[in-house]
Amino acid sequence: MHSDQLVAWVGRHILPHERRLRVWLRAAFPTVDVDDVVQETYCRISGLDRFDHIDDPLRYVFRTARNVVLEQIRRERVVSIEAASGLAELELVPEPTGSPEEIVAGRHALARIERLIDALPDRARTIFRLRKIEGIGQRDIAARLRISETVVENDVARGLRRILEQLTEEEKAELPIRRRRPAAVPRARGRDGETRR
Amino acid sequence: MIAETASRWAAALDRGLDASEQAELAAWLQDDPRHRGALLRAQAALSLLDRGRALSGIEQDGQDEAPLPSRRRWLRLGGAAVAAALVAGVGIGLWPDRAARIDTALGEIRRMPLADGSVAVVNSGTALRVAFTPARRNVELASGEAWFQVAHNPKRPFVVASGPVRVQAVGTAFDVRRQGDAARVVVTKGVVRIWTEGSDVAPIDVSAGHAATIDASERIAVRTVSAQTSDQQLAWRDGRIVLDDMTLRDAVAEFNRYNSDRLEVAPALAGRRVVGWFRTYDMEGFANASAAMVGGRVERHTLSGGGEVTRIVPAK
Repeated sequence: MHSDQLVAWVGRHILPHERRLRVWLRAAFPTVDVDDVVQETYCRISGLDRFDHIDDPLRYVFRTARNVVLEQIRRERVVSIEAASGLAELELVPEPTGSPEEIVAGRHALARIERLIDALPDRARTIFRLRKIEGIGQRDIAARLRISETVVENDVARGLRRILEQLTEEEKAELPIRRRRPAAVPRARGRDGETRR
Repeated sequence: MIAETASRWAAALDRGLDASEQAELAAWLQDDPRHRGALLRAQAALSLLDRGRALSGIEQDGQDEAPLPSRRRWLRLGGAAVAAALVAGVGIGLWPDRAARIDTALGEIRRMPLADGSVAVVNSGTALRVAFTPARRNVELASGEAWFQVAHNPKRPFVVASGPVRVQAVGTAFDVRRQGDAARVVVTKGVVRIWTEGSDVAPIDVSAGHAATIDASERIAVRTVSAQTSDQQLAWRDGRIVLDDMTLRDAVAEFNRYNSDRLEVAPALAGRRVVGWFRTYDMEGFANASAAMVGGRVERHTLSGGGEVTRIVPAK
């Protein structure tokens, strides 16, 4: 199980930028299985004993994902290399953690999550609001809404699943096709409008 | 599926687990290393919502805002290469048991079986001379780079001369890259012995997983290289160039080893770092990708003496 600190750290610094990581991976390595790389990246982070020495989490996670890809390519050398035909334009410039741009990007990411919560079914949305905005425990929510604790927990689980799914789906919607030539590719740009030159 | 289970566990953790559930969770995490990552992600999403609370109402605690790191751009280049595209098929004739010369053109990579059962893979722009006698197997690297997989025969030492540097192998595989009087040796298998001709410095044995650089002052520096690094340094054998966190300046130099057309990068951009995989002959693709990446453009000029120079320059 993970320490609360690690969970909070990932929630604060990594998850809000997961979409960017996915977009970047798709652009940089057109043929890799992005879901798989992201999963492996979280897996490595979950194995961290300490993370307070990482002063730039965003960069750290991009680097970790990069290493995952390179190792995958190396492992399945011939297959991947044959498959990975085509250069990808690549712009990996996560703003340094703590920079104004990064904070803005983080807020945009949060606003997006807020929208995802808003899109949940009524009861689940209410539960999420009570739990996360008001900070009320699941048991008290159940009492207040006169429903069973199991229902509350199920809604939290399902809502969470949906939010995680949407984080993934958004990236897929954003980059529906695989790119082959860099010339034909628009600049990597966050939907949030932040531009990286 | 994993994400769904992870979400359920995250929700359960959010209300608190009883002892049997804790055991069940521990078992689930044991099942598959990916489960840990998935649970972390789900829990992080829940905790992120706590931050939403902080932002929507009260102050953000702000304890995490680290001092600004350098704003050096950290660039990534995606790319790919094709295995073995450039490696000429296995040579037909074996090298004769007498002095033979092999010169590879720019962009040419040749795999040569040698008469003793060894194999040489000769990189672009390399001049190699092979002189086998019954007692010795001598190879002279006049310029360039070659990788050798040496057939085991302790009675007949296999020695590569790179300028004054000597690399001797007994049943091993290694790479020698000559840079003037200096040389870099990457050992991929077995052990090699390295020394400099006419030097007082004692020979040094270098084993697999190590690289040695020998400079003009005859100093031999040995460092370990990971399998990944040595694969990358030897990617040329498959007609690939692997750029892993390399400056554009160095990347351009790599491409110039394989192509007669010249590639240049403006000094303002030369320090940007890239990651990528390319075919050795795909200079144009590399130039375009780099220019797109740094927000620059590509200029092409025909030289008066024929040939082309391609420049990666900042946008106007």
